[in-house]
Amino acid sequence: MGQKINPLGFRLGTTQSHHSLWFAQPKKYSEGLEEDKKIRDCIKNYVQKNIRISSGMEGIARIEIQKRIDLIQIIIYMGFPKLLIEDKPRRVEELQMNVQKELNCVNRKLNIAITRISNPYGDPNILAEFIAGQLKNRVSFRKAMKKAIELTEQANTKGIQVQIAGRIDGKEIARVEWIREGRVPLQTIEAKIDYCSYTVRTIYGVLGIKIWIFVDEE
Amino acid sequence: MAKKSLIYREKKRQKLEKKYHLIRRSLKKEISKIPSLSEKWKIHGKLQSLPRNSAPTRLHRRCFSTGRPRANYRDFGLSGHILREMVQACLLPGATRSSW
Repeated sequence: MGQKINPLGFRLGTTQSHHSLWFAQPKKYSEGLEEDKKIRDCIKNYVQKNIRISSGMEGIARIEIQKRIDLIQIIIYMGFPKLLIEDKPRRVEELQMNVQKELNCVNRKLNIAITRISNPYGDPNILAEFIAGQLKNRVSFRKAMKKAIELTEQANTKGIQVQIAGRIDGKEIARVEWIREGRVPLQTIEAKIDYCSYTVRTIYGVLGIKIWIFVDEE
Repeated sequence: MAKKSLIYREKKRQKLEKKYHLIRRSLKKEISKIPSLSEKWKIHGKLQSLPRNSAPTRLHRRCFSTGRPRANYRDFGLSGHILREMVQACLLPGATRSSW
């Protein structure tokens, strides 16, 4: 029985870059980490509350944080930023004020930018949220997986693997189902693989979703 | 996930320690300077009238993410489990996995 390593952690330093970019004295490193966590949690909560209700998913692919001595730069990569920005014009300012309040940082300036991803369904986080929504609405799991793979193929990826574990379709006994399309070379370090692990709470119990996407890098 | 009450107890201790830190330190310095024993006793009485939770030895390190009191790394302020998760999720700047 083989165990899978986390593809992101495996590739850190080579094809995978860190989501936080800053330096700190060893003594202050943990303060920086704490700050990062607060920022990310605050942003996710805000987006969850204010996103347009019809979609039901956040659509945040990742949040990158860069820090300088007097500046914190936050870049939010979203699949569908219009759902957030469209309704009210000054969402970003509001979000900025929220984060500022959360951090209590008087000395440092805060800068938030929202970037749209060109291929939303090529990102495993967004795809996982999509599948989660389907499963919550009691769509058949196989249909949901195949639909997800279809969407990803439209997004021009080299390979994708989707795995769902748990009481699938509300069955008595839990099991694991997975589908792979294309190549997913997990052992090759220079192959750029995006990965996400996501949990869904349904009325039957908790399902885990894992998605690996082999990204087309040029 | 630790109980919220325990986490808040720890926060209270941190606050008190910070508040009385200078007083405690100056009293201790005075004790060490004064040669007379009875004077020392008096100052010691003052020291003991401070709240107990303001003593730095009562502090205990807890994971800032989950509140877990054991297996915490001082460098990160996290317990081992959460630390590993965050490393895999690319959230720790500079941290990489060794593989050869």
